[in-house]
Amino acid sequence: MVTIFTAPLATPAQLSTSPSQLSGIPEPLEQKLRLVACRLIQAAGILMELPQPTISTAIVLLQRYYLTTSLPSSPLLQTCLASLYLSSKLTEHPQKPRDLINIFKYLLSPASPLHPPHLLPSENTENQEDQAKTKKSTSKKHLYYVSEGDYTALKSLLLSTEARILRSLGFNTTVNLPYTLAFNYLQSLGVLTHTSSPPPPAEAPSAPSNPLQNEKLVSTTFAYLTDLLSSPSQVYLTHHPHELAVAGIYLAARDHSVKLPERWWEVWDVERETLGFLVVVMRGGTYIGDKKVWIVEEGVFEELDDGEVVAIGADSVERETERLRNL
Amino acid sequence: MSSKHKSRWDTETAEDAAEAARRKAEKEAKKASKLEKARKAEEEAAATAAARRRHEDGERHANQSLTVSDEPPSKRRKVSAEPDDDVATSPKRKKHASNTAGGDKDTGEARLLRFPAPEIKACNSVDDYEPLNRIEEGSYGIVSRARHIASGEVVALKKLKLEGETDGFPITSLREIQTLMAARHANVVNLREVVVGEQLNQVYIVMDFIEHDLKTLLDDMPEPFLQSEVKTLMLQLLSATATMHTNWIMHRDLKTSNLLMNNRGQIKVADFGLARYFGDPCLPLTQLVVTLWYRSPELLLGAQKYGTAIDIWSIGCIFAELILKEPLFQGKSEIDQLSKIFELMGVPTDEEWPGWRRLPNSKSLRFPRTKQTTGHLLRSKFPLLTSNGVSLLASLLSLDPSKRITAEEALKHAYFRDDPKPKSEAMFPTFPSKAGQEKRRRLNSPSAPMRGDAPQLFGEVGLAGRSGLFAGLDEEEVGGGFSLKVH
Repeated sequence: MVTIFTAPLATPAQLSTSPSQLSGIPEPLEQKLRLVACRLIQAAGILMELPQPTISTAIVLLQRYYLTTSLPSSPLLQTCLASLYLSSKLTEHPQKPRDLINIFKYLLSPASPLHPPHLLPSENTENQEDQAKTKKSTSKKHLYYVSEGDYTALKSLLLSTEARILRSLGFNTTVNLPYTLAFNYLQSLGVLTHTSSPPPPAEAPSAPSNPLQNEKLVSTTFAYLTDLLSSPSQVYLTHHPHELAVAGIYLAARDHSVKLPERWWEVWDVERETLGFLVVVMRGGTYIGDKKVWIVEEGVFEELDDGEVVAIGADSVERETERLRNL
Repeated sequence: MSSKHKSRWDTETAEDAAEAARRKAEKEAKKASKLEKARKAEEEAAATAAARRRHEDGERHANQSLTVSDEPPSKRRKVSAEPDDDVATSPKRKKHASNTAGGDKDTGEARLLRFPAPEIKACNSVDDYEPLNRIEEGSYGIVSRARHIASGEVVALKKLKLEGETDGFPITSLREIQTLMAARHANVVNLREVVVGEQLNQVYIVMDFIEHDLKTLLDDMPEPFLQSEVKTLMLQLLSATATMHTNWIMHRDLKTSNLLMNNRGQIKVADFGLARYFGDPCLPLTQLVVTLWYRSPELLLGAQKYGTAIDIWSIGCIFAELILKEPLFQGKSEIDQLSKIFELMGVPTDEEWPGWRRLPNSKSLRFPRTKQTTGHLLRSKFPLLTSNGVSLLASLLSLDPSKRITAEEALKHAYFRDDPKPKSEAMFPTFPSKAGQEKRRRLNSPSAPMRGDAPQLFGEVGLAGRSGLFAGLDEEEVGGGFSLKVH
């Protein structure tokens, strides 16, 4: 039964032994790459002017997919492309593979804000193999545009990865996001005064009359829920949407000092235990914390004082795996 | 009270006993109220204290989180186990909550709903099924009968046609699977699972196998369904449609050949190949939906925005078909379809359907409009239907989509309360199943529209045939389109 309240959830066994770790990828590296995937999808979605539900759906699909498939067997770039492509269809905002491929190319190019400023293409080549060196020394054009050959190759990878995602999810592509529920709950809590909802119940605290406040409350709730997508704890795979919605509202209400009725979360069948856990997760932030993450397609993993450089290419991942194993 | 059949003596004693009991109860009530008062006072004091505290260190309180909850909580801890507490509270309180979370030890603990979660798991292989015989082939896929090897159950296996796809998994098939998964209902065909073959483009939808489809059944029945049977079938269809519509799903291809029927008097809505989610307000959607004979006038006139009313129109056509034993409007083209509709239902007046003249295709069409051409002729077309039946049919086939009845409303229509009452499913006649290895026959109805450009209509809608309705039933060529049909 599919309802707006339930989501397919991961089993403890699936979470404790991820296929990527079984294939030799250390857990920290897997988390890092998953975070980078979320960032890439989010950035691409914004550039393509896709609504947040489409972007969030893509991220949840990707997280579910990597529960059953390992990173080496389905490299990051094609998986990001495929999950965004699939979610654009699922949420009725279909996109062309070519547009997606171009946008991702831009995001991974030196012109992108995701590209580390200290790693200019010329410096980058020094770390590359000889073959790449000769190629790059002649021209840097290929860093900025997708050649027809690359496009064809990437498109066929995109389409086959899409089919693999669908298969490994058993075609159960329903992603119930908590945004709508959160908005609904805020309305029923009577804290959004300018809506046409019935007047708040008598015992509810006086609602803020400032419409700006309302807007902030909603956007903060949504921001918490969106940030949660890139949390290393992957709670979108372990918790139902109503639980996430309640946790988002709880934190947003606290940020804006909005008082809510006693034990209001129980109205939506959320245990205090669960709420407490989710609040900790939400405040825990991402794996990298407030540090900047720069993303390159091929290259080195590098820890900087204020950030980190993460490469998504299959070769780089392999090298990094090797390096971490030797530590 | 109880003295009537007892002796006087007994009455006395009973009354005495009652008196004693009353006194006792009174005493107890007093005691209880005293206790209650005390408890209330305590509670109130605690609540006001809490409120004051919260007010005082509002900002500090707001910033306090579970992550920093190891700060000394002594000042704000409460002695009573009253449920008025915040999450941001002492770790001791949290521990207490966790202790009682499972059971109902704490009387204040609410009983919370638990939602089941489906697993995230990969598709099974099509090799789990043993093919039996092919049922139907259309442009959307091939349906065959198969047996699940492990359980021995017979199922219907629909292979999706993905060979020519250049854009990956088609969005229509995604919609079909998603909507079918969401629209669980006793009268919607049950999707069991999706299985795959070796190749990436081998995808099969596994559904319950249902013996008949309504179209074939109607063709082969010597007599049409009884009124009581029509009512049952209509109630089932309307209830399935109401469920779909409340779940924001439009079927967009309701017709008798997409209604399957088992031998237990149940129909099942099938073939969600054109179904999709809709929103409110509705967005421009493709007009190329619904098989021509069941297509509503607003679609034929080229409305870009339409809603669930298009399904209701199709249900109206099905209702009429159940009574007549043949499709109601058998147009040969879009224009012919429109003229057949207007022949029976009358050319809409501006009062009947405000704004219909502004629809894209109606500008290029000319309609004769006299007194003779307006108003419906359902009464003479269905002489044996009760007046409530005619009224239901008229509201299902209302030309203005905004005035068309909804599935929810139709379920409550007086027609279903009239005699004869809807027949119990168990009392339905059974029919010989044609699901075996019979040779296939040509479809007698046009198929669902293919993807493509919406048709532009030009010309004159002739209503000359308003006197002679439905002159001939033409053999329609089977184009693309897919229909679940058992022969």
